[in-house]
Amino acid sequence: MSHEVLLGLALVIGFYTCWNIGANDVANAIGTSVGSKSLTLRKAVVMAAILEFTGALLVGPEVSLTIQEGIVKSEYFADPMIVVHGMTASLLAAGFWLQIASYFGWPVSTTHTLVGAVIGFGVAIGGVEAVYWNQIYTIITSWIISPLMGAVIAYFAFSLLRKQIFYQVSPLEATRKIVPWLTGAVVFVLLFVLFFKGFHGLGLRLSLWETSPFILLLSGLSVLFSMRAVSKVEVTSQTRSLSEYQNPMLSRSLYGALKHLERAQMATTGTDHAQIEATLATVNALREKEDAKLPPDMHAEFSAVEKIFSYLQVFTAGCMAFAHGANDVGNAIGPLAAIVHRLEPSMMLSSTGYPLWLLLIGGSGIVLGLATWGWRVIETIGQKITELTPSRGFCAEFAAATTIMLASNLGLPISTTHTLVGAVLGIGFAGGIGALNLRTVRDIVASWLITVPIGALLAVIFYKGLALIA
Amino acid sequence: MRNSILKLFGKSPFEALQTHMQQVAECVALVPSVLKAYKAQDPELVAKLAAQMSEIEHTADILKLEVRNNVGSSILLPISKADILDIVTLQDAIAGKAEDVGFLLTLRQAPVPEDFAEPFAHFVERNMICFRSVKSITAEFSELLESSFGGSEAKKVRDRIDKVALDEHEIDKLHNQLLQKLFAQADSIPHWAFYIWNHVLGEVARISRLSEKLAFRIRTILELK
Repeated sequence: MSHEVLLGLALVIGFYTCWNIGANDVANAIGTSVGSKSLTLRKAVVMAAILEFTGALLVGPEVSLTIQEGIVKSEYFADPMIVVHGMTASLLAAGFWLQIASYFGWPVSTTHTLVGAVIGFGVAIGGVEAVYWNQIYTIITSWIISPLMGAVIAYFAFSLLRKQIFYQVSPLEATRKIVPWLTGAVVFVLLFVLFFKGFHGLGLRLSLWETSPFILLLSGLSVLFSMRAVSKVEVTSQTRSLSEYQNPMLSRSLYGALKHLERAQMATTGTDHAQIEATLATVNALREKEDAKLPPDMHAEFSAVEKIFSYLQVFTAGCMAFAHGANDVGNAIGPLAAIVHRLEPSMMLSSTGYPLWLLLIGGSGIVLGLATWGWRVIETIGQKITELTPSRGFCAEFAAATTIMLASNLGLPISTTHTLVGAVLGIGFAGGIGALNLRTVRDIVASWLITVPIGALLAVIFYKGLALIA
Repeated sequence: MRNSILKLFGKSPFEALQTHMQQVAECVALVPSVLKAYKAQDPELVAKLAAQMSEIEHTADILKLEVRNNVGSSILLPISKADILDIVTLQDAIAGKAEDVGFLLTLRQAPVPEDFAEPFAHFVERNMICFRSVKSITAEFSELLESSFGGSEAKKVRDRIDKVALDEHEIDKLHNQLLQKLFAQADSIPHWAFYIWNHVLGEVARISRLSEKLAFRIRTILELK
């Protein structure tokens, strides 16, 4: 088989893998925002397309490099064609297994399959010395840590919101006070995990230190911006100021005070008795005044709170789409880059020794998958999952985006879906969601155990097949 | 579709609880009407209303099974499953009492004891108000879920629950007064009429007693310091 045909085949399969990612996985980043009515379907698809592509372009190379060079010691193989066949077989194996899993509805991770496939072909062809086992251990550890990290961050984020906003007498006022600072913190954390390894792009090479003014500036601006935005939100049915509504804690305290005063009154005589009676009259008047006030319309307040959080949710959903593009596109582009590097070294042109056109192929594959099939999955998620209100969705997506972005910058390929599941469970344990099906966790763990071996096995089978044909 | 996110979210039992309560309320709402028909000595209307109440109670039963089916062992909820099951059982019991009242009235047309009709109508109305208070408490489930069953919203609900308990105490006193009136005339009314009025008083009173029990059961799911 000539190099051109092999290259063509590899590109087609790589494109197909990216199409698969766009069709199935992207929906997880964006779908819950459609379900909570923070975004319309159309806006969600457009936003996802843009951000996935950008994420893939800007941060994708880190993960891609790990898969290219960090798993199999390709120098170990005397004949570079072995690596070409092996990587092509890995891509074929991943695509095949994902197709089967989609058909049966099993929660299989794209990332796990591909990494398993690459390990598989490495071991099968070169034995145990052909694989960087240290790196494998790190990667597998990250697969376990990422859902846990998502869960922990989401748990604490929601617990904070629960106490500081939802438990308060006026959740809307509490939201107005807290959201600007929350926005600033969120922007800061997300920018930090984005830039903590510095910024290599647009012809610049900046360290974290050099990007920090930019991070601080954006965080500060976001605080100011959200302060203005938040002051404009009105509760439609509450047109008066807070002091005109009943304060249940005040009512209860006054009632308690009255009971004690009545007891004191019965235990005294003379001037003391008269004094207490006067005090009783004053406190009673206060209580009557308080009881006559309107009870706050909690339903309207909660709606306003959720409306404010919907903007934050859209922002974090966008960050998640970006992080997802960075992490998952590397899955497909990694093997492709390894193939191109050996078949046509002259095509590997760019300032970082990394081909831009490959990333473009990957990015456009994702966008096409999203446009042809992915939007249907987003629509389904949007229709069926209405439980994740913006405040909860924001916590889950912030936790997931932070974790995924961190992993992407560290060059670790993780499962974005599983991270999001961990985050949602974290919120569930913090008491934020009506009902969660824990059987899904069991299914996911089961899929972990079989995906890597099966990916490896399939890669070996496809490799043998390719070696025969090519 | 191999989508874990879709499979992760279960069906919320709180919505099902509210739908069930809606049916219970429809059943209970017919109690004043069926008693009025009985007082007006209209056995056909009484029978019709009693049959209606039976139908509604049956629908509520089916909804109760729905709630029970959605709290299996692998579902994670913000409150304990035992709480949900107890709440739906109590709600269902209230509908059962209303149905029992309807049935009692179809047995035989009894004469109304002296000096009884007005205080009895007042007693029935107080029971209805008590039930409606509890129903409005269950309507707060969405707000409670949003605020994770704690904080200011929970305190607001707790205050309403305490009011229900006070109401029930007053209704108990009215029940006793009506029983005394009935027993004072025990010799002058037929034994079967005595039986019917005695039991109707009991079943109607149980509506408020169960409402209070339900209210207290809801109190235990609140996160209060």
